[in-house]
Amino acid sequence: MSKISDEFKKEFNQIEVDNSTLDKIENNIYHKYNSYKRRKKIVVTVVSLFLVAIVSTGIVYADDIKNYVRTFKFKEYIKDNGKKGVYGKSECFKKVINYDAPLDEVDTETDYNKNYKIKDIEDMLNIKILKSKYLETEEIKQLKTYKINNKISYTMFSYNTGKNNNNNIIRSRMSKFYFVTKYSSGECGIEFNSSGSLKATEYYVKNLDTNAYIFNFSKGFSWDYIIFVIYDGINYSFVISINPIKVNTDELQEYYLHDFLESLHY
Amino acid sequence: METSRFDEVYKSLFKDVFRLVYSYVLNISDTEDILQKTFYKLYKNKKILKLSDIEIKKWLFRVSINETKDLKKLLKYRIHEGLDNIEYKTKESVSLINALSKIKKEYRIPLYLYYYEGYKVSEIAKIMKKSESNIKVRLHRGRELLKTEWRDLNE
Repeated sequence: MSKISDEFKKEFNQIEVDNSTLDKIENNIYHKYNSYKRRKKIVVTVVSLFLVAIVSTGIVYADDIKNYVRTFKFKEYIKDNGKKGVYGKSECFKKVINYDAPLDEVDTETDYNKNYKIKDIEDMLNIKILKSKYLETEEIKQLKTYKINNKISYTMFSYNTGKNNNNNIIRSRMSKFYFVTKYSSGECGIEFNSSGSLKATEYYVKNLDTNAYIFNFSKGFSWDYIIFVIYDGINYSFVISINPIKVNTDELQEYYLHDFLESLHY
Repeated sequence: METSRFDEVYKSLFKDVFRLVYSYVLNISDTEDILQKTFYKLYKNKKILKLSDIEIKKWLFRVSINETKDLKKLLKYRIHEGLDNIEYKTKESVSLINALSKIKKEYRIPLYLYYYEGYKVSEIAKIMKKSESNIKVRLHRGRELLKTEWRDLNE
């Protein structure tokens, strides 16, 4: 007992928390609390104004203020090392599907998980799945499926890509999507935190009428990105690489990234 | 709002809660997130702020353990695993913490509370809302696994 106890004390006492971390978290707590208070006030004010508007003018048509669905909320912050970080969290959508679909429960991601045609899964679950000329596949692999009382609560698939696409310019690897249903009791959505030097940009995808987040995690001689998109209740993450020999300027990279996103369709 | 009382408690107990959460998640970024959520709950809870430091510490331990459960659920659904904490991975780890990372998460908090904080089994059971026999089993199994992993790492 004493030896383990001594080791615990020795090693955990070495974990030091610097004052800047203490201050940062304390400030975040105060800020969050103040925002919460302010939000409450704003909600009350907005609801009051809305009621007044309804009473005085009747039904208001809001076509001119139509906006796209912003599925992510994010904030930038300065990390202890002075670098900028981005934290984002998406809303939690519960997808309506055929909950009784004959999809086996799968708990682990392995190479041996079952492959399906995209069309077959669409028909089986009564959903639509995004496709792209850059993904160049009609097959998806079932990675995980959870059921509660025999009803599908969560499922994750990956696109069976891996081939080079479009003259080797864009290569997609480990692109996945998942959704949760009303039977899931766990948290859902996508949460990201650009620790370190990851660069994050937001892009409005016209064809989908929603926003996407692009993370650049390039290292050395390759341009790698992870892109998060939530569309129609399904959370997608596309991991893609752009060939640095064929695409050698920032503008061209951006062009292909955006082209990839605009190529997504049902 | 008891801001000054909160400030006092925050400064005196932050490191204790930090170490407890770190012993479970073993990465700084998630530890900071959980601490922020835990202390935010304390800041909003005037009743708890009126208790003694010892009671508040136990309350903070209980809340932070619950927050780690939420994190576990969230991780299940995270599809960007591997993006987080890149900058922390390069840190040199020490052997007992390395050994802890090799054993199941459910054993880490009881071991930490017992060996670092010096709590009795009955107190750990109350903090973790488990039975005493459950905690005894976790401590026994965790201790055996920790010894094995620790020995392997030191060979």
